[in-house]
Amino acid sequence: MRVLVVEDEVKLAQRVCDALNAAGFVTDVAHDGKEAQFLGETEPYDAAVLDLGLPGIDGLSVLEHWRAAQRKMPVLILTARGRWHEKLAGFDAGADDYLTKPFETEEVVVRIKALIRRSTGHASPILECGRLRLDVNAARFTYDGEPIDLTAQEYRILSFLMHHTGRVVSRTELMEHVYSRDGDSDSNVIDVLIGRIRKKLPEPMLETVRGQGFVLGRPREAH
Amino acid sequence: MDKASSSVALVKRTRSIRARLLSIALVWAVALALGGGWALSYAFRTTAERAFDARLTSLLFVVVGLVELDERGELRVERGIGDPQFERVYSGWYWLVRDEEGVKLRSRSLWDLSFTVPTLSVSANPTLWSERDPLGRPIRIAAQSVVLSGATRPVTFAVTGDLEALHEETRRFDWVLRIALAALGLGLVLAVFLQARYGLRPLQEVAHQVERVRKREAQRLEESGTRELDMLIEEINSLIEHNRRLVERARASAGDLAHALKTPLAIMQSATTQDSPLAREQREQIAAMERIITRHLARASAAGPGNHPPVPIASIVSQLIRGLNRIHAERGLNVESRVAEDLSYAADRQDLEEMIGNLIENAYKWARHKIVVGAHRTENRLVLAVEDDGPGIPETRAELATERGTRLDESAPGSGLGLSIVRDLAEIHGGTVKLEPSPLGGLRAELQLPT
Repeated sequence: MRVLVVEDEVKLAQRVCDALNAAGFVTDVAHDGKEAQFLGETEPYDAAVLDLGLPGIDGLSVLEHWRAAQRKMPVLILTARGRWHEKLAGFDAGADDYLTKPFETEEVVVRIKALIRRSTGHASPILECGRLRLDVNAARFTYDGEPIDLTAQEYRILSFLMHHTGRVVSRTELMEHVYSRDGDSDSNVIDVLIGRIRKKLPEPMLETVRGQGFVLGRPREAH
Repeated sequence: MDKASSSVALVKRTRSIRARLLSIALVWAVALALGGGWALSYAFRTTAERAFDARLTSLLFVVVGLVELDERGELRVERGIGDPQFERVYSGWYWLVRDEEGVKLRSRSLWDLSFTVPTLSVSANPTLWSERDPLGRPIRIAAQSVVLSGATRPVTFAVTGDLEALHEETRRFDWVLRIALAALGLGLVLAVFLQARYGLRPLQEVAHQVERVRKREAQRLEESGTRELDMLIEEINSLIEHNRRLVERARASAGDLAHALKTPLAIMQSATTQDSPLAREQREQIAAMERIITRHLARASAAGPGNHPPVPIASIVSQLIRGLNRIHAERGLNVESRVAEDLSYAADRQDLEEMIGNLIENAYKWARHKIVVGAHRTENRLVLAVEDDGPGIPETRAELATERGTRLDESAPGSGLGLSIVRDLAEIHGGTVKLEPSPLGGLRAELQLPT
């Protein structure tokens, strides 16, 4: 899961990224409105943390631009003033949740997890695919109650597939969502990691669709 | 100095200007009445006396012309003087003629009395003086010694007139004069009173306008159209403007300060994640600072009461519900707004959003299934109530919940200051917040604002 963190205060942005990374997210950082607008419009993020008080283009305009460009990822806005006027303007611009500064970085993680879960259509923080379970809050996979030991990269890939079970996820899409912009972008790595995950799953539930990508669980019939 | 007392001072000053004008007018009127009265009275008296003397003199000449010596050398009157006053006994109008031997002729009015006339040297002009007649009546005497043709010795003629008549005349004049002057003085004072009242009315209007500005019903003073006052009004307006800028700057810097502190606080908070006693202490202190900042920011940002257009309450409530529903989507809360579409309240929109937003957000925080927002207008209040079916607040702690900066539940998300911020803002607007059990089972928070 890839999250864009937009915050002009470098230290705070770093702390938020650290907390998100620790929870298994891949993060990109933008320190000003212009960069944020560009990244949000061009990269496929699963969620964004957006500070409203930005130099250059302010956060609200950035959000409006994203929504106008049909970017539908859930957005958590950070407000310093915390006035309802600001929050309501945020909601009108298309925000999904807000946090008032100062906040616990853990709170950002909790909110982002919830937003992603909701945006992918999952009501409960426990995602299931057959006997495979993902506890989003604990960031832990279990199979029949037995924990599955995954590396951070493996967790990201399986977590993304778990959020989109039954759908064929292309190699590019997977890469875009589990690697940050400046991360290692060798597509062979994906195949290696998929192979490792497959070995760790007790059941052959992760399939490769030739020329298209990967799918977790049985492909659902198109209605 | 308090604003209220300054407006009182202004009113006092208008009063003292009027009193000053009135006292000047009064002093002037009294001086005019006394001085003018005396001068007029004096002028009249002297004129009347001179006219009286002239009449006596001409009467004297008549008497002189009527008296002649007969062939025996005796004084003789040709005929009566013609004036009936000289016929009426003791009328005060007498004439007599005497020589060295004594009184030779006298008017009928003297009957058998006489008055003393000293021997005068012969002169072309009569001598006049005042005296009393034998009955004690004040009289004026005109006398002259003449040597009649054919005589060798001078004869003294004297004519008297009743001074009482003259006095009566001057008294009557003085009386009329007094009434006229009193009326004039009174009229003058009245004129100045009206002048002060109507002339100073623009000043009272200015005081009234200053009061309106203080009550925030007006932004600035309007030009009075009075040249003398417009200078003052212009100065007051620039003072008001200056004050407003100062207040705005103070409010903005309070807001900016609080705002600027938030990011460093957020960094500090994100840095103290380990679980040591020191880190816990730090987290507590950071939270305390955050509460202080949040409250002061809320107060500093409040526009407060003033001249605002009415804001539709229902639109604010539905906007808030829409936003909060988005956040709490998966809780499936049943949120109902029973606010009439046409209900509005004249206040700063952001202040209203802040108060209503914090009330509704608090309900979202605690509600299990249901939230009801209702609002109506009473005779002089707007009453807005938010009810939920959450755990509610025990009556003993209801007072505490809105108290200065208290957090009811330290484990609840957010600053937990919502209700006390609502109370702060309501106070700024002259309203109240009441917490009580709701029929829904949870809390009923009622905001009342004066209209």
